[in-house]
Amino acid sequence: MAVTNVDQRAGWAREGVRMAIISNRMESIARKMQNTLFRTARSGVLNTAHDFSCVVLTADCELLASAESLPIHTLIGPDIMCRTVKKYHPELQAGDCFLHNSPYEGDSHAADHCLIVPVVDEGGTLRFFVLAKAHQADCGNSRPTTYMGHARDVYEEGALIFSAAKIQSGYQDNQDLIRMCRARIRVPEQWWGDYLATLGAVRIGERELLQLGQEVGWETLEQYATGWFDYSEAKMVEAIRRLPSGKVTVHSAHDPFPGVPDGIPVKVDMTIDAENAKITVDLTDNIDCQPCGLNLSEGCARTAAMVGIYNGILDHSVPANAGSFRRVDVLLRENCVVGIPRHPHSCSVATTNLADRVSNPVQRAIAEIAPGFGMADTGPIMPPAMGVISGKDPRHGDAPFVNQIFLGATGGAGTPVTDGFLSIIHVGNAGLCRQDSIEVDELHHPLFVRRRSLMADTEGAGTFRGAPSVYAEFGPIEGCTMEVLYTADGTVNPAEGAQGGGPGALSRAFKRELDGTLTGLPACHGVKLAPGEYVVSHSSGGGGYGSPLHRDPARVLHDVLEGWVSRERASDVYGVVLVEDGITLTVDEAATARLRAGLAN
Amino acid sequence: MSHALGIDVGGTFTDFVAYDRVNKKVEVWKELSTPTDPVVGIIGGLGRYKSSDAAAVEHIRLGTTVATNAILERKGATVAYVTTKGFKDVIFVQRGNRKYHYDASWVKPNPLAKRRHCFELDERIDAYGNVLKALDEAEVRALGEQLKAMPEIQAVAVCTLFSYLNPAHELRIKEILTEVLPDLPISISYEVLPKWKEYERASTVLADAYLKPVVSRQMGSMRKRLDEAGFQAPTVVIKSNGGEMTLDAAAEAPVNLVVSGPTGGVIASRHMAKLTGIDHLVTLDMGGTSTDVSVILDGQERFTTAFEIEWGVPIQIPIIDIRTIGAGGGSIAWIDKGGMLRVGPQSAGANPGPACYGKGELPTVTDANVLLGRIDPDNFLGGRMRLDVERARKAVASVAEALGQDVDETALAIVRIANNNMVGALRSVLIEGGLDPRDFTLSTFGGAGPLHVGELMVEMGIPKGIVPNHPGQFSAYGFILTQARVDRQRTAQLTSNRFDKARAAAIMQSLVDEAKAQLTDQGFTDEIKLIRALEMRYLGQNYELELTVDESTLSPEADIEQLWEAFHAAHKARFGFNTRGDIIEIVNFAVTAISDSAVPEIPKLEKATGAPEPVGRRSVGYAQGRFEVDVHDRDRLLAGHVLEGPVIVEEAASVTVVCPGQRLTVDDYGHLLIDTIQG
Repeated sequence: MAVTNVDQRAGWAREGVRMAIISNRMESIARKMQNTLFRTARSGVLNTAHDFSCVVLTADCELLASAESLPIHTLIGPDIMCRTVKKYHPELQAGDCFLHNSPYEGDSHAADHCLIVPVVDEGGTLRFFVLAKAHQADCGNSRPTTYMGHARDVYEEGALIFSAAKIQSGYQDNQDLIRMCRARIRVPEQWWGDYLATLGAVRIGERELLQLGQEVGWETLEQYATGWFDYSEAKMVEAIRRLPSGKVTVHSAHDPFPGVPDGIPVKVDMTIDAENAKITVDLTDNIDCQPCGLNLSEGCARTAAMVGIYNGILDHSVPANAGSFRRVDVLLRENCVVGIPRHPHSCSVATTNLADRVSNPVQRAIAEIAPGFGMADTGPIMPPAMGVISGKDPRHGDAPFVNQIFLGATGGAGTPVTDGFLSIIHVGNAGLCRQDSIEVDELHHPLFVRRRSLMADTEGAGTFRGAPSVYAEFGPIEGCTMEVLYTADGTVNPAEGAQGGGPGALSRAFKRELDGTLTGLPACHGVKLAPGEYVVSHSSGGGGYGSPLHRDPARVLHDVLEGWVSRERASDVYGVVLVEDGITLTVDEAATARLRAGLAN
Repeated sequence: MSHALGIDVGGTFTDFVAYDRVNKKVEVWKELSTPTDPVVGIIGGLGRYKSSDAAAVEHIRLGTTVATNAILERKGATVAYVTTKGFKDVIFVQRGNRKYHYDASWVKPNPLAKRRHCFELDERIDAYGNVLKALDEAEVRALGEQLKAMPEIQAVAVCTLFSYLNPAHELRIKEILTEVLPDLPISISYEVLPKWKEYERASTVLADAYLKPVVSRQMGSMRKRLDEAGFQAPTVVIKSNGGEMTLDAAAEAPVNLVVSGPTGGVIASRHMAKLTGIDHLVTLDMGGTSTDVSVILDGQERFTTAFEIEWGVPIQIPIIDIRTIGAGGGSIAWIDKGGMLRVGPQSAGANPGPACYGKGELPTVTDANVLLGRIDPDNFLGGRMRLDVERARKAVASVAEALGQDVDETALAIVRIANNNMVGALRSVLIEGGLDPRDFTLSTFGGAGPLHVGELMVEMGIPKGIVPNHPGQFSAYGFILTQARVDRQRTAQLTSNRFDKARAAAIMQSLVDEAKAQLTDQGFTDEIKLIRALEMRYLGQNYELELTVDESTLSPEADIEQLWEAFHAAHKARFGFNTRGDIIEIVNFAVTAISDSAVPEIPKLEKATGAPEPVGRRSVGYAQGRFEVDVHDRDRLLAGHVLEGPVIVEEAASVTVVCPGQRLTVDDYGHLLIDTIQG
């Protein structure tokens, strides 16, 4: 129990200075690892979209520092993976490095290759772990995509699965593993460049931690970790106590996909116990693992629930680490689609689609128990504009290419205090990934982008509205046939609103034929495009928070003037009457009040 | 005609530094700033220049916040943004990149144009500069007419896809719009920043258009009023690259002014590094509300093209790489919900100011420094302002009580946490940039910087420190040392496997010609020094390393392998590995032209013959405890004087605090050099 009292406050104050100093150093180490990774990586998914994470864990495998890492990558999972390393390699040495991507033992999904380095001091004592997780452009799947939504099991998925495989001893590569990767991963040179970048990151983290240990002493660092965890827990206690206690069941559902013709319903039972400062999310009452790639890994199931909680408590000053995690219980069941996966079920898409269908109802559940907290749903993904593109590049002698692109995803959820963050991409990455540059994409790939634009009237309406959808249309250049594989949720079940907010628009996918006509495409699909053909992608809009009838009319007017919302929608959904005053539009206050009163009934 | 003036307009004070070339004399003074109309403060301060009349002023160099404030306060022009059909939302989608993971209340800064003022033209250039869809001139004219009918539009920004490779469409759009709208300023991305990545380029050209009317107005008004006041000397403003430009040039390309004032301290530090023979300096300019950190490496300031004026609002022209954090003397101490003591980023600013100023009640870093005896309450700003110690004590006591600590302990903790915030900034420029603090000297200035120099050296593992002359007016001092400088950059991709040296040489030469012409057009005809650089990476990477090259690198007879070898070595040094044998890509070409005008000769100090006499003695709190320390007056120190820490050196606008175990030496120019005594 870490309930703040005067004695403890004094303790932290005395430790506070040292704690702040070391904390600063730890975050700086994680950041330096990240810097190395994105500045040197070769694939766009890493160096442009920043789909990677770098973290520091204690020798007991507790998450300590993560800088700007992606939440879905890091809250829970790195701890399980480091424990797995210890289990299979009880004697850890300086110079060791482990490649791990098994979703059955802590990794998020097989496409996220993790390099794990035990930080061992001069005396041979294990002090910390550093871990870098990087989403691969390709991981050896049976088709050229890192998201095998339709895979019935891990065999059909086809990824190489590494379980704490020692890829370096004495700082030297294990060439057996390198050859395995080169033989089975498409575009092996790109993989090799990304491997070196990731290795550079963990080795820099190791070096910095060893230096820090020498400078301040290992014992001081241990005390720091204990103190920092206690402090983080105390912050979480304060945050939870601001909420009322309550218990609620909230539902969500992933759309029908290959292998799950009825979709996947998700049930979240949430309890907030303010008195004991504890939040419990029970996911056990859900269906078994399914014959598709959507099953969650344990890391993603736990993390997805926690992402919703950290979003919902509205206090971003609570450090997200093993200390504040003590105040959260996520109950999982073995062989559950949103629980602990049973081999050989596939978890190929575990970081995004179904994980979002856990985070989103969790933040809506908080909104139900505690109005003024929580959030609406963030838009489901991944539409074709987030697909994996592949083919042969006519500009480089038909050399093969494969990479995930980030040409258009928005979807930010309305919150109790702000409109949805426009380009969040999805709830699990917290908006920390980057959208691609069109000029960079067209240079790196044999790709032509016809349009990228935001779509009016697609936002989840609300007192604070969700983000609108984004339209993207792209295809191959002359001489190239391109395959675009994608796994779009949100074509049936939209992002729901919270506290009376409306749903965001649905995601859509079309093929533009040579004659310019549009043909609808399935939600989970691989579309082959010849020159002159394009894929059209609509991302999901974000859900709104609070009734749109309570939205500040000035904000509605602004949305209309800026083209986010049509005048019709302003009146039909927001109940705001706008009139022309000769030059511009203004709000007719009296007519608005009347219309809103009518709509409210 | 022998006096050079440097003026830095700050939030509270406008600083003045004058250099008399004949008598080799430097004079400094301050005037209260007049934020609503900065020219009033400038002319008021000029009137107080004692040593000379207006006619003797040779030139005036000015650091200005007009551009920065116009953007931060969103007081620039209403801009029409014109781009390629299908892509007007590029400036709204931006690049993602949220600031915090879980902060629902954070709202991303808006772009500098409204969506209702964004327009598309049906044209397209491909990734190799080929025209896929030709510009429809009638469409451009129609757009011009449409804009003409919109009286709110005050400027136009144009950014079309791949214009950095083929500017034909942008140039023609500018011509046509100028014909239709002769009175409207128009900025096109090819002229402002001919580099790839459409959002970053668009954001930069938007800033230029956004600033044009306001900067143009202010430059014109300033010239007129300086003339009226009798100051007819040539007047220039300081650019974000630390160079100077004429008022007319500034009005034409105002985006160059987004970081003007803070560059002065970096330029002055570079000059000091040269004088003192120090290769590597890290500079820390600490004022009341913020601290600027920068690096001088091998005697040269460093530049960035990744500057963001606000989160997600890039302005990617070359700018001196200065990191700003919200930590200053006015930063407020508070206790967070987890019971931990925090300092800043909230600041008491100049009003109400620290509690000891007599108006505020919240404890600040300055209050802590007063209680620790580091600042003499009777000798603040040379005695011009008496500080209220009891008020400071009461403010700090409020925090101390909640922590269950005594006031002294708490004051020390406040200072250490403030130091820690600055250490974070120092680490981000040094360690995250691959530099070793042990190779550096810490240069501290700004009113509050020298108070923290000793402790920051300890916390950062920086072995040496230096406090320059006039630390309170150091930026304005830098302006009497600046030179005219032009940076030209262009994206052009070439790879090592099929390297076309002749094309590379031609691109570099065209940049050299452009840069030289820009200098001579402004009348800077002194000897022009050129710096050439290439931004390079392994093929497939998305971030580059900049390598300075010399004129011969791209010459026909040069062995180009040496260039690739230099890149492999730089990659290894920066990231710990390289991949020899991989294809290397040159992405950007960069040329800097500097007009090497005469630099003032800095007067030397008289040599000391005996030990320095302290002017007082008082109790000062350090991490190791309280000590009775000597207090010296900087004006009485002579070249060669050595003081052992703990010791205090006071001057009008600042106080230097030397820790136990450190030693201070006065050099020939009066700089205070601090080092760590071995053992």
